[in-house]
Amino acid sequence: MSASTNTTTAQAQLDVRRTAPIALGRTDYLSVLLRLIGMDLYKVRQRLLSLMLLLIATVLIGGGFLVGGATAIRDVNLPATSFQTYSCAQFPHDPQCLDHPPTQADYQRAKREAVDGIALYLNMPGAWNAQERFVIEELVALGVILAGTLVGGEYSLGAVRLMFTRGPSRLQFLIAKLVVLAICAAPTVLFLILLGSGVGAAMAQLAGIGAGFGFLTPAVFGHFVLFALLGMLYWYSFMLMATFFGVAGRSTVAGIVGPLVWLLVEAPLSVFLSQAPGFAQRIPDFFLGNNLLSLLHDQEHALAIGPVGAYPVGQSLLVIAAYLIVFVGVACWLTARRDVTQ
Amino acid sequence: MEHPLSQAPVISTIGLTKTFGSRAAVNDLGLEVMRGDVFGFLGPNGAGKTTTIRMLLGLIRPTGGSASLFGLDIPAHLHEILPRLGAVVETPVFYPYLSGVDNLRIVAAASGMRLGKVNQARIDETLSLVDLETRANDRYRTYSLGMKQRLAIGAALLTDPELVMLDEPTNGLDPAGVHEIRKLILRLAASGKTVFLSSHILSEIQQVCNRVAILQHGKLVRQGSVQELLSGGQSLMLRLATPAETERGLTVIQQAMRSDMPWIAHIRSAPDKQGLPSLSVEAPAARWPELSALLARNQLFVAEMYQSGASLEDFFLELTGTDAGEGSRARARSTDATGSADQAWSTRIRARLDDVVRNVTRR
Repeated sequence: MSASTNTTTAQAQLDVRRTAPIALGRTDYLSVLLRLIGMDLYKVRQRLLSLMLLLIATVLIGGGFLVGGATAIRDVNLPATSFQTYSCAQFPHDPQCLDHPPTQADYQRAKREAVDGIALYLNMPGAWNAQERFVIEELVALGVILAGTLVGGEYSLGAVRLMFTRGPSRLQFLIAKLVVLAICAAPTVLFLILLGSGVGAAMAQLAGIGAGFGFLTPAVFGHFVLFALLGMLYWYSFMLMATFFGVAGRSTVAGIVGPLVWLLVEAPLSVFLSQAPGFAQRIPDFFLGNNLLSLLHDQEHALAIGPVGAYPVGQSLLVIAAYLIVFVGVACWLTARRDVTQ
Repeated sequence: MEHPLSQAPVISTIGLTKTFGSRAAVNDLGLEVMRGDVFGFLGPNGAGKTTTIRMLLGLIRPTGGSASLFGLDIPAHLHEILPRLGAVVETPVFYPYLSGVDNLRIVAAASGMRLGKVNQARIDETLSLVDLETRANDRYRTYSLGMKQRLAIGAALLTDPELVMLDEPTNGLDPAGVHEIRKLILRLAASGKTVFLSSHILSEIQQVCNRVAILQHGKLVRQGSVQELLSGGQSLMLRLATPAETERGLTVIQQAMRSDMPWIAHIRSAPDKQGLPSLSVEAPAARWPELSALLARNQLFVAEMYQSGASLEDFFLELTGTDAGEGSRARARSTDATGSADQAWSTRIRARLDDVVRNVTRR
């Protein structure tokens, strides 16, 4: 072999031979899982979609309470005569209708009622009732979008075949995602509840209708913690549903559309079935959303800001557990057993 | 003393089978890839190459048979096997919203490398190896197909694996890109890695691989070293003065085959590279002068006589009867004046190749 060939071969070998060290992590199950969780969190953090979803939620909740606060400030400063009174001639069924021309006292009462209504919505704990409607029931759609893209996206992109050939087990990959979803859901729900509560309380103070924190007894705090945890559970349950649909349908679209259709259909279907005869009437008792809301309503009832839940706590917990076991169980089974043909 | 496992094949399959419904994608496949091999895995589209690779990587479960990598059974020992190999399966897939370097960080974490900056030097080295260091911080979605392929190869090499499995690594690459990948594969081989390369670009396989397996309709039709497979496939191309003479030459040689020249394995009419009617003769090179003399005795004079290029493409076509590329189409369309003789030749050459493979296996 000539000298030049030798040099070329040596150069070629130098090119491809590793010189940089490779630092391997621990290989026990938990360490691998923690590394995968870190990896998925890194992806969530680097993704514009995650930031956009958080921004949308922040703007909606913060903006909603800012608008409410601005309305309160305006109402407080309006003359009483600007508020509407109702004559019994026009509104005979209104219990507070007037059978005489409105006096200054009637206008003052109308103003007080309007301002009190807004104050209840801005001040805690009444604000948490609004949080249940907006943060938990409505914005769960954003959590579903995140979960659908995080899980279903792996299949849509075909990244499963990259990930499933790197060493960790398929179940470790799925469990890491389930943990990441919980890590995303819990602080987001808490942040949004606190954001809405904080902005509402600040705006109420600005409007001069602040109620302060006198309501905050240990019992109220305890119920608030339970309320917040149940809010997180509400989000997480539907995120698990997105995981289930994303894995079963092997796509982002399935992961997002499945739970969103469920969320949209559940309430009207419950109303429809509740009027049906026989067993069909009981079917809504076993719907996931209804049982989650029942638990939330129990806490709101304890805080004196809402009606009591529709179902016994035990039944709700059992129904929710059954759903979650099915979602997680089927997703795990499909992930572990199914051929990857993407 | 050397550990007995070091002599074991890096990849071994016995009766490996995968059926989808009633269709057998891979049927009774027996492969053996030894340490240090650059092994070409050939077959027309749909032959079952990717299905085989997916089975070897544990992505799909075999319906029958068994497979082992590094002497360890799949899927029982998959989690011990996977960290020792790097693979690119079909088209490259990464997260489009992440940069090239971020994608490699993700792959590093999934491959068991520690998180954080501690492995940054290796990631940088890998990016440099696949010539992506200048675009490392650009998002993957902005990459060209060639860059995506290179990143996929980089990801496969990130952990410095013993075995590299590349499924159609030059798909979508321009000629310069193909050349780069070919050089990279040769460098991998030079550094002692075992490379399992699936491709339908036969010239590429011929240039880089030392051993090949040919798959058709999910079945293994041939396995052996490139050199040995090709040594039996060389033929003599003869063009006579006119097409009519060529026709008569065919008859003369066929008669001789049946009488005093039994060493002629096969003859058929086939167009030469210019598309002119010619004869393709399968016979030992040492006896080619006798052929020339035979024709001369019959007042037939050779206008052109040359050894046809013994390429893997020719061999592949003969074995699979499949069109492998644009250059092969003319050959595939060639008229075979002796259809039954062709079949007989095919049987004969297969028997001869069986001997070759048997010899290779014995060795």
